[in-house]
Amino acid sequence: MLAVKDLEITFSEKNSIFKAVRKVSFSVQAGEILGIVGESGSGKSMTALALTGLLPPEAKVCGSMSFAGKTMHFEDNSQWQGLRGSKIGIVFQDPAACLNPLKTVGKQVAEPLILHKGLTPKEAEVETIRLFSALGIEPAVQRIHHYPHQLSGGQQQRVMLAAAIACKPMLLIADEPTTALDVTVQAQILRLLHEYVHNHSAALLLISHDLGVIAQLADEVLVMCGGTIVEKGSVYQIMQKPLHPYTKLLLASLPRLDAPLKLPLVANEGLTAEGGCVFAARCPHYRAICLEKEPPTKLLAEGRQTACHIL
Amino acid sequence: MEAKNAGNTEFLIGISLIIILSALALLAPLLAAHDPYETDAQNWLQPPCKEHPFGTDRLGRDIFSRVLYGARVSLAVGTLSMLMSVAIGFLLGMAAGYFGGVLDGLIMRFTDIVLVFPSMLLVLTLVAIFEPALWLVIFVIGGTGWPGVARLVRGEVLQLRTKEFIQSARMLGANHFRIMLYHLLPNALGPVLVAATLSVPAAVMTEAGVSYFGLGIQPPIPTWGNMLRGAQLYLRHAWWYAFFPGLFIFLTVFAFHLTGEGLRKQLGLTRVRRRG
Repeated sequence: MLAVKDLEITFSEKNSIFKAVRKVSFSVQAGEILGIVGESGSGKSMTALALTGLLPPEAKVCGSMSFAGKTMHFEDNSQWQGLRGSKIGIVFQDPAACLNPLKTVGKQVAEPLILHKGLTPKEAEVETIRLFSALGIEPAVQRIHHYPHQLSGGQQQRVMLAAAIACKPMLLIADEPTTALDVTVQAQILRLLHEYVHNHSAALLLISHDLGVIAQLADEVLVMCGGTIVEKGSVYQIMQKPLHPYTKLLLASLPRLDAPLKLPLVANEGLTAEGGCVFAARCPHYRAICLEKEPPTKLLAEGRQTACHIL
Repeated sequence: MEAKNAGNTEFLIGISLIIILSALALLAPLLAAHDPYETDAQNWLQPPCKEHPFGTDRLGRDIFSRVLYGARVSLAVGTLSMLMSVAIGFLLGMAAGYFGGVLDGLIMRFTDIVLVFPSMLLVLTLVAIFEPALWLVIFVIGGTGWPGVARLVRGEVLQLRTKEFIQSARMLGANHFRIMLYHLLPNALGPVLVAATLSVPAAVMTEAGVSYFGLGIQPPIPTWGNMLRGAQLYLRHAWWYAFFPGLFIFLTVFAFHLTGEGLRKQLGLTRVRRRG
């Protein structure tokens, strides 16, 4: 349903060019949950923003994308206007910052319904109440008149989710949807996301640095590093048998109860050099070739793919 | 750290004064015992007495009545030109802050150009070129008073537009127009409200100044400014002639400043740049 090919996002300043995302290709089917994992600065969120046409104007976007059988042009903003909120919904990380502090939550959820479905404010309010009860924002009839600060973090994220799915989008993008929430609330939000995908056979792009979240929900996983996809496979393959050294180290970095804390993966600092493997500088197995040549993407059995010289 | 309801008293005193002054202006025909244009050659330069609480002027006109009718002019000029400069300032500041880039540069340089002229000089020049009339004074003061508002709104919008809720509003399908009007405007309103309140006394002062120079609203229509002009030859003999119009200018400016400062403190804002 969604296919992205050779997506590149470049930020250029007077004399420096920074590639936030390089040659990223992937696709998602209806009813599928695609997880994107990677550390900070790996290009996950930039990819998500590009898919909604919301990148800042100074970003240069190349590549092609087709959505629901239509070719989308990254330059043409008017094409996105009608899609956002109706066909594509997005949930961001920090619900407290994403809600307008001066509008009641009911009004904010009703907004896409009025804008896209042409409902009258009265009809939109009825629909909002229905959405609120479906997502467990109770008592819905009173809640719609509350302002964001009167709600807890979990409730705020439910409101954001309600606004995102109000028009029944075919594609839902969740950019770190649970990072700002504690674990119990996190599980509830994840269940709601899963239910939505299941009930409406929508596609979900789940972006997270939390491998636990990805493991619970995703079908397929993309591992991103330095703006490239270093590994792709089913959630089982990635979690149980990671191939790329980056994925291995990422999994090994998870704090464990039964082992002392270790930091096998150094945080990404500075920009990676052009021409070589994006992970070469931090890779424990790197060879000369890793610094000279970009590793080609190798297609493996069962739809797996990875980009590494030493494999 | 300011007290919790800091500014509350200031605001209440200010707003009460404004209400009283507005009521006096609106009810002028009921409250004034005399026709403000009626001359009385027998009773010129009468000191305040029962018949004429503020005395009479050099043509025997009742100063109390003229001050009340003058309040209509002053407050009309103050509020209408404030509305005009807020409207222009909002429009330009919003466009500059929201769209940025070349448009921002153009608008803000134009704002700077308007801002470098001392506003009194600009107003005097424009009023001197055209036929003096009430609407002209309003237009000219309103048309030169907006740069402060434009800068303020631009600053607010620059700060707000990167906020995530603006992005999420776009994500839900709101277009530029809707974002500006529905999401940005209410959030930028606080500081502008203060600036608007403080721009009223500035406009009142400018009008009084222009009329005092004889370039504003022309006699016999009473305004506080041209009453002062008429009074200046009689300062030694008839203190009341200049005192009462002056008192009302002072009260008006005082009231709006108190209200503005009170608002500022209540909204928890730091100092707001004023026009001119």
